[in-house]
Amino acid sequence: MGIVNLICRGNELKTRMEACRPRLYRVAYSWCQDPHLADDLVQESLSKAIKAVAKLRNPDTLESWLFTILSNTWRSHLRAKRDLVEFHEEKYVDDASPEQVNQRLETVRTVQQAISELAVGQRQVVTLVDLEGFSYADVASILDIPIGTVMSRLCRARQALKERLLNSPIVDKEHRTLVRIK
Amino acid sequence: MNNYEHLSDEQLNAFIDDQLDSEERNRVFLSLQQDKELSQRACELRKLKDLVRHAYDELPQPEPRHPPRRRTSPYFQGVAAGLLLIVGSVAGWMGHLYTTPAVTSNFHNLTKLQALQLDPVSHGQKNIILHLNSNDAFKVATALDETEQLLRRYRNTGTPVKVEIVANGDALSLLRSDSSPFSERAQELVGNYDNLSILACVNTLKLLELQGIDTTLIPGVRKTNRSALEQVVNRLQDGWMYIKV
Repeated sequence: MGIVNLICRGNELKTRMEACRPRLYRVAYSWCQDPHLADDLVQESLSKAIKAVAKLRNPDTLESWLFTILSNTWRSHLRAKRDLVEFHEEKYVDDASPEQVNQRLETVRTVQQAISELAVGQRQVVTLVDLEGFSYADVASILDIPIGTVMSRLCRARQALKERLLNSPIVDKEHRTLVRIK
Repeated sequence: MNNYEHLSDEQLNAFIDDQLDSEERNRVFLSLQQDKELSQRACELRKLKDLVRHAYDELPQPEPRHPPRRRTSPYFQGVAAGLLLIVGSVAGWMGHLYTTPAVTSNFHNLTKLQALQLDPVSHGQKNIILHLNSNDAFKVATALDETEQLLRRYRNTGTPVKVEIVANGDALSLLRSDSSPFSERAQELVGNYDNLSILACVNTLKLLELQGIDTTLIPGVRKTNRSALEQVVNRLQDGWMYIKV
């Protein structure tokens, strides 16, 4: 019976893992802003999770455990490509083309751009809290940092977002558009 | 004395994120009511939170790719390959047991007919279907000779036997009254042995009719109800011995 229970538990956990894939992808995308990389990160994380599922003592913590693996996978990726820092053109180009300006006018892209410009640690905290609704304690556990660090990073992240988004004339204009639509 | 002045950004964030206990939440609510600036800051934080959520409502999906190949250890691959080999071998053997005797052992040539003539008693009741699809007169003559010998021997020993000769394709010319060199022979055989039937494929006859060929059969020869092929298959399913001439 013990073996049967073990197999059933394993299958149930795998089903829950697969169900969690869209959430993992959303957060991964919010970290890297690249659909293919996000997909790779999620795939790698789930593969690691399946291999290590026996180590998960409390099945109730599966979701936060998965995000921990995702975070570690993301950090490993960053470490691996440390010497190959990509050049983000949009970050440095001032004389943007009309096309680029139009894209920036889109709220979604503007917010995503602002988030991508946050420090990695801040980006992780703000997305885990805002997108996934994790508690500060959960985020501290996922990222393996003190809860005070979670709060301070979140504070700095939102301050930076506020400066980029709420004080930006482009976003203000966009906000007016949104209000008019409503 | 108002205590809203002491609210830090961290506390206000925690309030927005619903991370405060009931008492602290009440304290923040009170401060928000009394301090417009604080209320404005809370609104901005709420707005930021909504913006972040909104920014990832719809995500670009990566192009579909082939399902990832799971890496399994060589040990498990070896075990799996071994199991597959065993299953395949067993399935093959079982298939051999159940299909080969039922079908292929019923397929024989005229030599088998000769063998059956030698020892009719030990073989017991026999149902034999001979299939003709060639207009090779020599072969057909041999088949008729062998069939007659068999029928005679079985009759002499009192062993029951049924023989059916089915012709289709080119072989039908040997059963047509206008072209068959075996007209008399066939009539004689059918007349002498009521356990012998000679059948002409109904489908081939229809084709010949369409070509304007006379399809009158020699006396004693009947048409099959279905095609010759179906007749053979049905007989095989009923356990008859099949002999291809």
